[in-house]
Amino acid sequence: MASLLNAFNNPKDEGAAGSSGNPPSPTPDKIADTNSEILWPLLPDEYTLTKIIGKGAFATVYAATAKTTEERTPVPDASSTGQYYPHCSIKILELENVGSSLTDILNEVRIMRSISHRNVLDAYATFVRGSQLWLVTQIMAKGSCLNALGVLQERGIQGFDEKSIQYVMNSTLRGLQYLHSQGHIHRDVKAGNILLGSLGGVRLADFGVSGWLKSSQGESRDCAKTFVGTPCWMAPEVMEQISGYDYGADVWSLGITCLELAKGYAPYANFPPMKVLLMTIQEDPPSFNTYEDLGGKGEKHSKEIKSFVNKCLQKDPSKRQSVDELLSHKIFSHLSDEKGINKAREEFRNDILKHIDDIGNTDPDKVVKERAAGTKPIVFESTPGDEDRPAGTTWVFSDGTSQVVKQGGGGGGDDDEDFFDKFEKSTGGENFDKDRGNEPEKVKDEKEPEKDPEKVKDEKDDNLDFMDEFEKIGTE
Amino acid sequence: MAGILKALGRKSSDDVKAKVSLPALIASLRADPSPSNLEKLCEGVDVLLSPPSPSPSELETLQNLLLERPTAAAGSPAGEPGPSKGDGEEERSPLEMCVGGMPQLEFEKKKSTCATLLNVLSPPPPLPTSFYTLLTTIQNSNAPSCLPLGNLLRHTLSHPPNASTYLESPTFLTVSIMELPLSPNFDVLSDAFSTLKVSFTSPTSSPYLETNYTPFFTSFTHLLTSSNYVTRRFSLQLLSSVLLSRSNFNVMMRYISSLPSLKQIMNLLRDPHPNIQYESFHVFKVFVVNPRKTKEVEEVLRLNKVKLVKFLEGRWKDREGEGNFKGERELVRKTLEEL
Repeated sequence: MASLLNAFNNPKDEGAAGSSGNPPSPTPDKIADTNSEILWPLLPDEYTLTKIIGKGAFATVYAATAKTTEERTPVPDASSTGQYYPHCSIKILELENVGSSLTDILNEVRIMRSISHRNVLDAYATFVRGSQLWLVTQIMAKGSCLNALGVLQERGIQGFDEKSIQYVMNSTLRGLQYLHSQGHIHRDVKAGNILLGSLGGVRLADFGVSGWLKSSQGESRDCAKTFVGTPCWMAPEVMEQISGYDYGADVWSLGITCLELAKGYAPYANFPPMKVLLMTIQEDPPSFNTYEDLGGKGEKHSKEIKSFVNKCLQKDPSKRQSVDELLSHKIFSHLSDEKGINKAREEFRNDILKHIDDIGNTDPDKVVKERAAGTKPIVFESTPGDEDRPAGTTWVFSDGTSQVVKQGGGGGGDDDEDFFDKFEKSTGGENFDKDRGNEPEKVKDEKEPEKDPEKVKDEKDDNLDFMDEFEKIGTE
Repeated sequence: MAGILKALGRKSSDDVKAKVSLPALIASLRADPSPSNLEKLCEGVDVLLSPPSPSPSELETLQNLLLERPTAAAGSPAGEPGPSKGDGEEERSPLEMCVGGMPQLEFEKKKSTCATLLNVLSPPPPLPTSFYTLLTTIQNSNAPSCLPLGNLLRHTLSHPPNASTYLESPTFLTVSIMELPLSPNFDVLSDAFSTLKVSFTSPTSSPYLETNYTPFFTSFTHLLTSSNYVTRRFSLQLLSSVLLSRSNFNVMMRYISSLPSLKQIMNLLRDPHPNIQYESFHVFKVFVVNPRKTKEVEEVLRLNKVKLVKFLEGRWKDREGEGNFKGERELVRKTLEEL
């Protein structure tokens, strides 16, 4: 049965697209993919990778466009509308680098694919190419808040103005509210994970610290058990790892992020990790004063924003306000309805975003111009490692057939032919049983070995100690 | 009707619950299986499940209402509605109508409906084969419904008799093994393997494997030899955990005495990707350490022991910290040398 999930159900062939522009009317068995009304391709060749926008130990993030939907008129990203927009970002993870923490990563992908909210990054499609996992997500053209802070600092501006902070905090809180309602803890809220769309949309990304991009070169590959997140944003109860942690850990990180947005860096950003741990656990919670004590410039900050930060940064998690309570804080009073939010978004675009260039240069017109200028999309060589099997593994099976390896010329592994292969060729394969002849391998149907009942009984006992003997060396 | 309502109504006058008439909601869903009617039914069930939660007998009444088939006329066995949507739609139980209606629901509604069904099926009652064939077919034909339905499915399998119903259902080998784990869509693929893992850790899986050994392993080889890296890697992990669970002792003995299986695993041992090699080692080791090897198996191991010993020396260094891998690798090399 050719399941509907063939390589790519091209809307054009199925005529579901109707006139270009409006999203296809969902017929019962062709409901669109999870997060958007549009079916995103499930084949790597259907995407053009235009630029690297992020790199980590395990994964690389590219700006990309979905090829086959070229003829659609791309509508610039409006963070709330589900309008079709061919640009996306693709996170490519080399699964060969991932050992035992593979299941953590799969769970994270599954969580990402089961959420959909305008303040959380949309994951559109996931598929495998060779030993790589491709995660197609929405692209946020203006990059992260951290990137924005960097650009502002180059222009001598310390951080976001308070109005912009309120807007970003409110959007992030709404994203967290949705995640918490779905039973997920983000675990890594910080300016680097709050992304900005070209129209001022704010979305939380990269949650679940399975270390896709997180663990730096130095750490051993699979330290999924040890918490890998950066300590500056980590709540004290997370550091102490005594009673485990809950949604409140995200609220603490949010409080630190609020300071980060105002001052351009997290309060303890300049200290080595160990010191950050000690100060967070032993000292009073950080606040705007922490910067003054450390000689930071003494800009004035409103009473309201100080009270907001204070409510997030309570060391005792039970005293910390919940996301719902924080959303009703008075600094968000002007952001309680759609009109207020849209107004704040426009102001945010004029105050902050106009200084920031696109990271993945995904503005429709800009992309076209650049393409004319001949930016070549990034092309992959053939899937790595498909041909080069480990040397010296041409097994010989007793019925004369042998797995002769097509030794890829100069393929991976040592170049010169393996000693045993040469030896076997020169001596006509002394392991090779000549008189057995070389008829093709007949698939013998397995006859179940007949056992008479008594023999089975005692055989079962010593089988059990076989298991014990095997158990001695134990299995995972 | 009043009797059922009274049974569901709390002794204390909990009027909110009393207002919910499940039979009426079911009737309207049968009359017009629209998404809105489906959602209304689920909302009604949510209300009935809300605190003060129903007593066991009330829960049972609720579950029976949802599992009841309308035309189970005397004489004809409980109608076995065909898996496809078209025919047999009328004989579906309300539960199956909810599962069948999943593709029409909006994204968040799919999750909330599955959450409601999961709550009402706690603890899971025995479920018919038709429930599993329908659910698997929907998973295979509508990717967005796959993940929420996957959670519901795995929850029902926690009741062992359901696990054997699922394993023996007609769509298990043809779809849950031969299609879902080979899907180009990574969500569908990883969800399929999570379900297989749950199915084969259930105690009822051992008798299933023993009686269906050949059909199961014939289908399963399609996963071991798939060109999809993740499918190969997951199926090897699944195979080693199945073989090494004590309840599957007979299945293991039969598997490791078959030469075609050894050949297949030895070929996977030389896969270009080290992680695939490593996962196949955890199956290969059972062949080698088996004190009762068949003549065929022993001979092939002996024929290749020089290369195997060399191959295993210091291989997969980065995995030495895991479990007793290091000890096992040495034991296998020693056993091979002494052949």
